Amino acid sequence: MRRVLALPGLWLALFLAVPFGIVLAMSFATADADRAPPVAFSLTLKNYALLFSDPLYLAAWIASLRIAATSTLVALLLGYPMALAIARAPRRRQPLLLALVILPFWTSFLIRVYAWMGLLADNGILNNLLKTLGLASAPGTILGTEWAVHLGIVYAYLPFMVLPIYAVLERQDRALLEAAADLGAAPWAAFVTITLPLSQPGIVAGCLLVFIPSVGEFVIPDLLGGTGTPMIGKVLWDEFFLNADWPLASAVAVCLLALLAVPIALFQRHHAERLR
Amino acid sequence: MSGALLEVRSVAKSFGPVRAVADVSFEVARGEVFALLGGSGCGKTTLLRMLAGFERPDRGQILLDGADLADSPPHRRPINLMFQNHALFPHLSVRDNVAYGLRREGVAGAELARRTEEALALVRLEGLDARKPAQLSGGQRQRVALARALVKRPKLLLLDEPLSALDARLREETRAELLRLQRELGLAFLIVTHDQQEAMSMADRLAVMHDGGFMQVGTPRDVYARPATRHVAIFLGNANLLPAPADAAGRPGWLVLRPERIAISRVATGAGAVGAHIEDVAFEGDRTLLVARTDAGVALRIASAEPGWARGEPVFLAWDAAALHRVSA
Amino acid sequence: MSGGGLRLAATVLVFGYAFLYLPILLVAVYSFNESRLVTVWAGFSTRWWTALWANETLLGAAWLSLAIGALAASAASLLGLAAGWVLARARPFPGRTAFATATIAPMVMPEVVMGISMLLLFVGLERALGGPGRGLVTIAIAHATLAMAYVAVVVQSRLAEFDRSLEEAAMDLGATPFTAFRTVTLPLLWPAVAAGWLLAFTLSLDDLILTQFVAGPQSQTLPMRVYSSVRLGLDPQINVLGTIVMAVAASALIVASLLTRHRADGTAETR
Repeated sequence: MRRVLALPGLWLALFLAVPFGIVLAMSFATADADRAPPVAFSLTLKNYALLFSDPLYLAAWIASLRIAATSTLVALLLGYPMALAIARAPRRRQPLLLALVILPFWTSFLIRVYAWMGLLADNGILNNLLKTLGLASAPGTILGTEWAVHLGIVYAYLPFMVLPIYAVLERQDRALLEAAADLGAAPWAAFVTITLPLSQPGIVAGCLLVFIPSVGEFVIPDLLGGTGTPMIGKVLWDEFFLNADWPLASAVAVCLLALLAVPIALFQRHHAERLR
Repeated sequence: MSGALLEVRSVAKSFGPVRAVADVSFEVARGEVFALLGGSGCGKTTLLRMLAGFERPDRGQILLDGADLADSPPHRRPINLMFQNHALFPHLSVRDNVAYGLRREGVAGAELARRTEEALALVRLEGLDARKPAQLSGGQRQRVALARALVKRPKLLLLDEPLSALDARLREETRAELLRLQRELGLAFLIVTHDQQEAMSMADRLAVMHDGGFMQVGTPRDVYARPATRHVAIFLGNANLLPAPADAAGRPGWLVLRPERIAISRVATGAGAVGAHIEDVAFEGDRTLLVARTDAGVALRIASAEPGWARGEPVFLAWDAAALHRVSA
Repeated sequence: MSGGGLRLAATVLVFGYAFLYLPILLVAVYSFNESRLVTVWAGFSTRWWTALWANETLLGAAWLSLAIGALAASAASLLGLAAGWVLARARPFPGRTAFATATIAPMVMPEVVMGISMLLLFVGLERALGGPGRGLVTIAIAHATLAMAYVAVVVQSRLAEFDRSLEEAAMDLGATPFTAFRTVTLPLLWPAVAAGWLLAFTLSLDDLILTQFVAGPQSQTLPMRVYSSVRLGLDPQINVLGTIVMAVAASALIVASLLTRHRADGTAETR
């Protein structure tokens, strides 16, 4: 037992725990462009002070949380009916329907975001289609707006919403719905009073699985979003790669992780309960 | 009050090529306990689901108080079902489970509280109303399911295998409880079960189902004493089947002889006594089940109130001619 | 379900799948576009397919990605198998919660956070020990750390499905714990491990953010090339590449689902 534990244990200690320690230490250091790596060691809180005082950074935090929250809500409104429809489909067809939800997850994330670039561009497929159909003469701009970022997040993370909700719905005892109908509940009332409350664990898991990565998302806002308020993942990236400010980027990483600690802990608990 | 409460007329249902229920007709009177008895796949569950409204009959009519139920969905039928595995809502407390059906009718406030309270008292669940179903014992769950169905004051209560989820001790208690409530409330019960003891001990009348159809309908005593077919004889209780001479039309038949109708003794008591040897002895406490082989080579099952029998013992068997009941196929 | 409910469900599914698949299908369709302008259809052509075939930079990046993917997936499978087994079978030990948390954390942690922390580790190691140089090895290590979480979860769920008494029966019949694992547990687990390997391989092949942090200047993986090209705008060669990736992923999923079907057969009797 000890020996089996040793391999992954040491690996995680070296490549997960130790790096976090370094990031934490780095977040108290000072950037120094003349050195290689561009860091002077110190014990300062000014990186954090900057993050919480500069309105630009604050705006980025708020934008990230807001975009992640609304995208999660939209994904839920879209994903729940899909999960329900799959769970109520004939049993022999469910594996195929489910595989069709999982398949995009196995294809390239980058390509799927790229697909929306072609769709949403000013002279892109969507605008051309609207023009051809005469629905819009002067198409509006979508690419480079927050709309596009929302769309991209919902699109990319929709499978993460559908799967846990489906898993809960699929296990629900059909007799409960029959009991509800027998006791006088019309189909809609039975859904609201039985199906929905019992699928709550799946809803929570799905929302966490969409929300958590969305907050720190980089590729989608970078490729589909505009030059306006950046999301926090992009701030970290730019501070690190463009400004070579490693300590500030580290402070962003520490804050991001602290921010997500509660949702991540919730998800872990859900995961542990599912496997019990 | 007169006339049947429930009338089922020539109801049939198939699932694809499988015929589940074939042309079944029967009536249930007010205040009657009627049992559908049959093995798995006999169509009893499909029939129950059609009465509750979960399946639509292909043909035939179901009338309740003279009104055709064909177009009323389950949630508009004045019939309630006690599910086999109770189907209690796991996220709701006992009280909310019981109140569920009333809330759907729009009952609220003091009336909701009063009627819920009443139903809980009826099944003696006061004090447990805040618990979740997972915190209850099997017998308690059974009572919640019963209260939940009764609170709607249905004209007819359907019970799907009401005793099968319970252990032996609880069965007897629950059976008495169910029948007490049935009498007090003047309800009609329709029980679906595979267990002949459950059916015989509870029902005023029972129907033995096989292959989607009724083989015989009658009072338990009647069906037991005079089974219509060989299948009914075997399905309802223990039976010895002796080959009988062909009848007037030349059809073969069997004579049914119930084990408890055979008198067994160590000495020959009359002219009709048959010599035999005991081959097997199973002591069951209140009775002893024996297998004896007659000198003519026929194995017979015998139920005896006397426990002292030993394997290999020579005995004499006797029965009245009245104990023999002829069945055809 | 009532007729109205069925129609509603069908409508939901049609819209849902259209949303998921139309963008991908359009990428594939426009890979056969004659025009350089990706969004304007100018007739059928395979010129971009031929162009990609001659694109040494992208092909080189693809080979590097495949090599990293194989390496990372193999490491992740071994690590994930061990971690999943510990989580599913080990008696409670001090630090179990920390171990469980660390195992699954990479699944939900923002990749930028993981990226920066691993880069800082590699920079530190380079300064302290002089290696490993940033490139194939560091990328594979990062990917393996990310992917082992997924393998561990697959293995853990699989182990939770079948009864511990199978292993106990083997030991009762005289097998040592290791023999019991080799002769009973592993044969039952291998479809899960294989599916985990494929998943890890796909994750590695697709990863951009971690890679961007821990890669050296000489090691440009496929997603890095795609990203730098896409940042400059739409490129029909990327459509071709995307089409290929999607076709490969679809085949991988079919293989994986065949593996899991085998798995479902195996468990039918133990339920």
